[in-house]
Amino acid sequence: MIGKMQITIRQLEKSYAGQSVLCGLDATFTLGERYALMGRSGCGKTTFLRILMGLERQDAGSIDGMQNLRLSAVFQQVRLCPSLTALENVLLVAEKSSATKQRAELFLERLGLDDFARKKRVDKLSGGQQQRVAIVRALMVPFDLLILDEAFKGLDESTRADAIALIDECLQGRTLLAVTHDAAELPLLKAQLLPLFQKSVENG
Amino acid sequence: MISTMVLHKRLKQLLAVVFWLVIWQLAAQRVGYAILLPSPLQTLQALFRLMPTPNFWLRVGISLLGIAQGFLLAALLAVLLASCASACEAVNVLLQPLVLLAKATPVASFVILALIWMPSAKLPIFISFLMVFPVLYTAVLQGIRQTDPQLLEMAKVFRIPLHRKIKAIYLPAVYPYFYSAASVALGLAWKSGIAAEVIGLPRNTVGEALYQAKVLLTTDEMFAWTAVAVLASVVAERVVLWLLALGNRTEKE
Repeated sequence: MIGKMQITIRQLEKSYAGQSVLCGLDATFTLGERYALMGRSGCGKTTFLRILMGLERQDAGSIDGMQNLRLSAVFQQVRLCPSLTALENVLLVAEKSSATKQRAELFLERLGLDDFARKKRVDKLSGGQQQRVAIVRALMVPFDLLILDEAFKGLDESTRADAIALIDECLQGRTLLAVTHDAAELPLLKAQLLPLFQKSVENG
Repeated sequence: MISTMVLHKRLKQLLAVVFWLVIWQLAAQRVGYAILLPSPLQTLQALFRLMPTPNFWLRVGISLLGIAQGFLLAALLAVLLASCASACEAVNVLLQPLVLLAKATPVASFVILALIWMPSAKLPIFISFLMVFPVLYTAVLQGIRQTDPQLLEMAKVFRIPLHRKIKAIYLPAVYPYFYSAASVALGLAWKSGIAAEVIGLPRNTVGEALYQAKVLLTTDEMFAWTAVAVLASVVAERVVLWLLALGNRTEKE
């Protein structure tokens, strides 16, 4: 049933200090599908995602079908709590249980964070390690829509492949919306490119 | 290397204290009357004369308890009201005049007013509360407002429950502000608390002893009680800051 539902965006508009960022954006996402968005920097991709996540309000237009959808996200910035360890950051969003903890440890291990790294404060980890923690965190929370905003930046090819494989396993028919600058990630994510910001790519 | 530097710093601090003790001694010798200015040695003798008496410890205990009560009450209310004010600007707007008033009004005015409203035994609690509250309230509010908005957005997206949000996001943000404000506020609590005792004369307090020493012209005892107040303030500050640091470490573990 949920697979037939859609998120419909109509005439979305957003501007900052008179500078239009989104102008009459229309889109439809079928739940259960995987989508990718590409476009040059500053064309409004992140603004669009922020509106979808409810972090900002649009100036005009409507979004239908987002009600009651559980979101999860890998943000453009890692947004980890600096005083917590890698494992604590991941568990912060998850339900408290030993099974969850084991799952978190397994996921972190799969992305190359050993026991020592898992118990380190995140602000002592490298940028790439922090990015992996942010990816695992997004997979620890129950979600219907997973949003990835340049989630693999700073990762080498092998780690990126591991991260995508893990995301692929966790998605299990749920919706993915990924912003990327790397066209090579599209087939790996099995995502279809939405031409929302294509004009900006062509112009850029 | 670091320990040598610390030792060097401590030595310098000690030398500075010795320097001022020598100046005090010379000044006392020059004045020549202990009733006007007792020497450091005479002060120390007075202190040793007072210390074995049970009344000495009773006075220190009662003063400590009153000021600690005022401090704790102020800390609790500051955290509570600053949390409300950060969520609702109207609360902050309402509290601002009171905070400014408490900051600017002389302690003596509050003490005299408070003497009309309450028994003198409650005075140090009330006065130290009044002095501490604005400092801690401002610090906690500032800490909450400086909390990383990106982390708050993350918490919103991940639907993190409030108690976890407080522990993982707000507490680490507020802690440095609270810690440095607590250090300042403790000194204020002591100074204002003792001043309130001197004016209100609640029984068996350090302030009352100071007043009695002044009336009886036992200046050496007045100096000794002042030294006690300073020492107690330093010890209380160290203990509270140590507890705060310990709490912060335990929280992380």
